[in-house]
Amino acid sequence: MEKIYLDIDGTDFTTDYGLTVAKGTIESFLTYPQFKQPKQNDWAEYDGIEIDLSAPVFKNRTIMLNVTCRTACFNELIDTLTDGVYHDITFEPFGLEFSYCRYTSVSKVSKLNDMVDATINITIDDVPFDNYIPAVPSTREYTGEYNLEGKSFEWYGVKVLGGTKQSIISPAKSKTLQSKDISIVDSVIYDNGAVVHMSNRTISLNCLIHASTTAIAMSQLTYFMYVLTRPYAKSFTCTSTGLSSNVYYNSMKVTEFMPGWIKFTLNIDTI
Amino acid sequence: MIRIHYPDQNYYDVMPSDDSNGYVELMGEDYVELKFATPTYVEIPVGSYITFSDKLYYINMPQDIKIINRRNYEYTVRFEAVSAVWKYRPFINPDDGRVTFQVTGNLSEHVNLLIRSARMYSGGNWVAGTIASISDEKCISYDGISLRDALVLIADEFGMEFEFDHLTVNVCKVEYNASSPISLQYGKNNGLVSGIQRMNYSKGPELIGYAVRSSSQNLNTSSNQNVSYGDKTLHMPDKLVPPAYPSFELPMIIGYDGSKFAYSKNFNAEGSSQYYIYEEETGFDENKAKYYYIPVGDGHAIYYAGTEKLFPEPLYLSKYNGVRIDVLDLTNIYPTVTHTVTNVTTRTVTDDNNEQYTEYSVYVADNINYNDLQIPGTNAITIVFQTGALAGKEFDVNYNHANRKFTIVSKFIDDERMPQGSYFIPAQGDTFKVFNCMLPDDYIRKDSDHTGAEWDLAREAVRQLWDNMHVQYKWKFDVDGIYAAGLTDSEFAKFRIGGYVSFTDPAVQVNAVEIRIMSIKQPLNHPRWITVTIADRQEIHKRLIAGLQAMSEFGVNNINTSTEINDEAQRRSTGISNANLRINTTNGNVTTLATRVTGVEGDVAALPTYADAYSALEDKGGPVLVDAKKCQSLKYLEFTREYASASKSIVLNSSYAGIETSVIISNNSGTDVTLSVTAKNGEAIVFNTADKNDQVLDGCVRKLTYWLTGRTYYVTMTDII
Repeated sequence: MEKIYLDIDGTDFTTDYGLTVAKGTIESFLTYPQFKQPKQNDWAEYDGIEIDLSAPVFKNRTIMLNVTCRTACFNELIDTLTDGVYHDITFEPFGLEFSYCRYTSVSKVSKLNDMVDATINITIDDVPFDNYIPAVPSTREYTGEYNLEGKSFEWYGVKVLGGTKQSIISPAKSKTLQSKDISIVDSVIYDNGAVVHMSNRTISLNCLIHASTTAIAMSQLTYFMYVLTRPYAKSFTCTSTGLSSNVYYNSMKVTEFMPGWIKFTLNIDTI
Repeated sequence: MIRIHYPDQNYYDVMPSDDSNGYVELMGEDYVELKFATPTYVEIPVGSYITFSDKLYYINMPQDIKIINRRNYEYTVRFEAVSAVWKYRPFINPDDGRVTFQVTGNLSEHVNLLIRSARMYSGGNWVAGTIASISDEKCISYDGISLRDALVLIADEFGMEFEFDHLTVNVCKVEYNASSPISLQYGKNNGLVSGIQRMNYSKGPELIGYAVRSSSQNLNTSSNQNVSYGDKTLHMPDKLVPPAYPSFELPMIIGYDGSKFAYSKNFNAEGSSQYYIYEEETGFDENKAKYYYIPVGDGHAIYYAGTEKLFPEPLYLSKYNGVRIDVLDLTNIYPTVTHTVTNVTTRTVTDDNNEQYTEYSVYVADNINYNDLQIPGTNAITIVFQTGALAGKEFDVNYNHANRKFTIVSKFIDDERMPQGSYFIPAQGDTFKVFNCMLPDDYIRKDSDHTGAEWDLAREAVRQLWDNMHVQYKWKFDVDGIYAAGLTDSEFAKFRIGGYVSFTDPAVQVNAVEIRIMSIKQPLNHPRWITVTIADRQEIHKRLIAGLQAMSEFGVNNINTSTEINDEAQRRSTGISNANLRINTTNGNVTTLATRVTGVEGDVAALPTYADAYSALEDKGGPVLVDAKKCQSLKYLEFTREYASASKSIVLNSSYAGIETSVIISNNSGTDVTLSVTAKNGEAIVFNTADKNDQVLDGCVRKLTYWLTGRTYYVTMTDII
């Protein structure tokens, strides 16, 4: 595992104070924020939803900075993070840079002798893809089981792992129609004559990007997420299950990070 | 991001919170409620403005602020359309500065007077835009109300609506896209989302008929059957005797298509089908027509009888529940004729007090011998001028049929003899109506051309029934923003006040209703996700008028919406009477500390502001000369005085003779003592408070209310002893 250097506002806490960035931190920082709830119509007469994805916007996010360091370093770290609202945080050698990081809280802290293990919650107000110049990851055509916007996931450098199909084949919930729950009548009185329509649903994809270098893996992740979060719905297909649906981004979470290796769970919602 | 432009050319950009909205409604509010937060306090000055939906909105009142903490200030700022200043300016008669006055004129004249008043205030080059062409004249009383409320009154009186287009005022029916309404119904791609509300605001069940309250004016209701009208009040034509069957007496049927009438004139009883035969006005549209039924011998009732032309049956015979019958007051309809003055002559006469005055006679061309038409047992016939300087004024007359001459019996109105002088006199071209007389039969009912008061009564009853019989709904719905986003700008622009919507629902509203948009709520951050109310115009209109009347009940305003022309009616160019009322404090022991009035004769002829009046009176420092006429606008006159002795007399010098004058003295506990006296010309009236219950009043703040009985203006004085 490469050594991770944490720089906050120009202070290299790894070099200057001997701070160690613990597991889970990069995963947290690589996780993308969710969309703010777009305007939508949930028509009772139709399956799914009608959603305005013409200009989706992101929420901000709170991530975990897991560190191990000496007490003095920890104090300095907190002092730095609480000196003013926003701070620049950089993780090297990955070139992960965030400019609008603000301290929220410390959720876990343990101390053994002079060493402190802590989880510091940082809220990041950075907007993803700000100043991002899309870089197409590949010119080679791949065919695969999973496709986004007509390109196989492999084309993006993304492999879909096992356990995904359960989510794909799971049917959506039915929409609730007229249901009268009256206090003097057993059970409920439901509209028996209505056509059953299905709600939209969330599909969870277990994904992996495995590249020769971390930089390439991060580049592939960034482009993949960039495509997924552009305005309007995206076409998604899973050939083995016959699923072909318009979807939009819901959330993603990086679950495992190693050099050249980014494993993440992607949630996409059908329309 | 919204840019707030300061009056000094600076600006401040804010990001509105999601609960910021624009609101606009027909003849009502038009504002943007901007909510935002800042980390440091920002004073948004009054007069700042924003642009929203291509319109300017200004701050007229300081913003609401919530201090969350030292780094969190939340604002709610109301930006109002340019027209809002009409709410904050009184309607002042631009000719004489009064705020209480009556005007008789047509719609255009009322509106233009209002525009002139609005233009008296700086910053508004208001212009009249589209004004409905209504030649009928109405007499409207304005009593200290705002320009906006005056506009509401005018619109109400003339059955019109109004809108502001920046500095242009339109008074007409506010309607757009009538030929190409927006088609909306619930559902995907249909424009409306879940939650459509239909609200019934009818007075009750479906209206199917009226019991008509009518007038006895100009009818001979005596028991003399030879000349009697045969009824206590005017009735509608209450039977059809078909020429083909003179022995029949059938209900009278009237058809109406919303514009034109058809009158049953005959009946066919041959063969198996029996049916009415009508005489239709040119352009009568059978496809739109509804038919109305006046029972035989009951000309005071009229019922809806469906759309069946040939043999209409009144609904009240077949429907018992879910229908109602109202009383309709049509006492404003009676046999009448309007004469035009062709000539005016005068002569000098002497009254019982040996005072000379000018007697006026007016001549007409019409050949009606009123000498034969006087109703036995009634007073002399009278005339009421409808136009001219004497509009609204009623006079007894002596009629000479030989030369069609009405000699006016002069009388005192507002203590002045009328007609008199150079202004309050009749003139050629003036029109007047005659009262306290019978009129020839043709003026009561003339079947050949369906004229006369009975037909007028029937037509008006039909119109009212047509307008009010349908159950009235208003609809409120949220427009599907996704659908709206797909509209072009010009299509979306149809969502505007007065814009027609064609609304249908396969279950609730099978036949499309085309009614207009009455209000729109528009989120600033999602401008195409609007909430719209469509309704019959009367709903908002009635609410506005009700609001004015509510204010009146609480004494804020005195609204008179009566269209009846009465003796108080004045043309707006009326010269001001010279009758002055001098309020003079002659008690040498009284020191005036401060005096406030809203109107003072002499120094300030027309008082644009309260402050002007205040300073003008302060400058006088002593006796105050109050022009009673000009002080119709006077709400109160406060004197703060200090008595150096026990003598407590106030002297009122009045040149306004013959008017009962009173003073009310109130103490702190609300006990009032009233002193009344009849003013004499030029003589002082002394109110010696020591004569009246002084023990009760002594040692407390005293409020003295002075007014001329029967008038709306008064003076209040507060004395500190």
